[in-house]
Amino acid sequence: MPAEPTKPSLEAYGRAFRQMQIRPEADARIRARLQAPLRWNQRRFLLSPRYWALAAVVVVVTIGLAIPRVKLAPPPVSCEVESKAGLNSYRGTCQLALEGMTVSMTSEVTTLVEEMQRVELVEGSASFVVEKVAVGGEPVVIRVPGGRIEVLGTHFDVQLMSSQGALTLHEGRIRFTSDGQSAVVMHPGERVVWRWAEGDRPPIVPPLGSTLAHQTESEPMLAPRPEPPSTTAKTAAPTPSRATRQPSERTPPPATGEPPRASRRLPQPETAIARIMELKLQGKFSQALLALDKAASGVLAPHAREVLSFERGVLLERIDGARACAQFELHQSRYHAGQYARAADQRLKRCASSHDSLTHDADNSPPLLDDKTQ
Amino acid sequence: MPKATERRGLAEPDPRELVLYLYERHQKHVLRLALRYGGGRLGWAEDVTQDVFVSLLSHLPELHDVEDLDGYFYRLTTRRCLNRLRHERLVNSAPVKWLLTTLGRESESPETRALVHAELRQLGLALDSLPPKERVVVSMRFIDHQSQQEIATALGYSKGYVSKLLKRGTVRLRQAGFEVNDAG
Repeated sequence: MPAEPTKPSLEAYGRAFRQMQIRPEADARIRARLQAPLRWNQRRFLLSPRYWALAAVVVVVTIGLAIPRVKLAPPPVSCEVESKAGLNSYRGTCQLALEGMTVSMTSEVTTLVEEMQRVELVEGSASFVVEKVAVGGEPVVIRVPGGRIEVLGTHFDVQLMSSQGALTLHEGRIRFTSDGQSAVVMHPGERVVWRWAEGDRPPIVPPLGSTLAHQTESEPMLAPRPEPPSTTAKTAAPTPSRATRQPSERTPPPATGEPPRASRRLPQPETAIARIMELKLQGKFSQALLALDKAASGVLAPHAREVLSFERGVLLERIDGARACAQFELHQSRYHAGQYARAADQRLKRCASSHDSLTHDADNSPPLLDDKTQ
Repeated sequence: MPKATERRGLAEPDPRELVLYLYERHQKHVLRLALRYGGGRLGWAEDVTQDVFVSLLSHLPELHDVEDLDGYFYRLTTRRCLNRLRHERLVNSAPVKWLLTTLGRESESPETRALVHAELRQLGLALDSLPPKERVVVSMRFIDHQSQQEIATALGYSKGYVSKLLKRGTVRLRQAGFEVNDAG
């Protein structure tokens, strides 16, 4: 049997090329290349950052030359201020940066009163952006003819006409209170129109013009729900027109001297009060107090707050006499002209005469809550 | 440390003369290495030789001792060959061939056919069929008897990667019917 031929090794393969030499023509070519004048090493340059930097510069310059420059004209800014009798009349596109808020004038003439802790829009239209108030902080109050606006941080527009105003809320939540103490809590996208007697206006310089059409209807004005605000449309205040009115607009209830009706969206405290009364009858005063505090922490009409404030004192009488006296003092300080002022005054007199005998019979309690909140 | 040119007593010699001097000394070594990696293609090896010495022109200032450049030329030639082989493999891949009409691969030169035994040519073809990295690593290990660490240093790979390439290469060569002595 013939032996299998031995396979060559890799070493033998390496040795196989030892006799091979470079061909004369290749040798001459290489020598000529090496003796030629030194050339710029193009490949190294292409890989270097300098090449890319130069390329970037060329691209930028080319683009800069190719694209015609478009000069964006800045928006015309014209703002004139005229002060007279404490009133500042702004003409044109003005923007005020007050403490905690920014006011952008949106009408031809806007009159403001700016004092410490007080801003009053007397005439014209303005867009307000109020910084958010910390929890427990006092709301920012903006006075307008015929009412006031309490703000906890929001964005809204106010338009004042000859005898009526329009308030449009874009963000957050505000409460508009008319001078007759009727209150409306507004939600984003809602619009409120209110009226006032001509005599309520402060004596101001007669307006030179208004961008808003006058409305003569006595019923609530119906206008389209405003679009969400945009940065470019801030100065374009919506103009109510009869043709485009929608039923989303509200008007505050008329001031009749009676307890104001809560707005449609205002949380009604009746349910909470019924629950408090039930707990009270069951003798669960602490639970009733907790339910009351919970109800009072929500958004309520001023009258409902007064009721709950007094009822809190009554409940505390059953738990802690000293705290009850403090609550009545607080109530009196807030609602000294309210419906419970007399009853609270009597309680405070009792507090002064006898600190230990504050736990009265329930029969001496003030009028029932449900009677007052109707 | 004085530079090579100063040590040789040459006051700022013409770099072209120095490169020609080095070419005279090392061109055979460079050519053989290139022939081995290129599968006996003489034209390919000559191109590599030219590349090596042309690139030397721009690296002359970095060289400290021109009398002891064997290791330098070994590493430089090996890297050049590896780069060329990888580039060649990319150019000869099907998608690139379809996109660009590339020239076919240079065949074995007549000189190689005359000098290299037929069986050795079979081994060369088997070596040529390996991926470029494996081909270079296997050649360095089993022909030049470089250690794995030396190969890793020369090619800029980790020792573990070199070991993996060697293992793959030897398996492929054994599958082709050639003995590879691991100890060698």
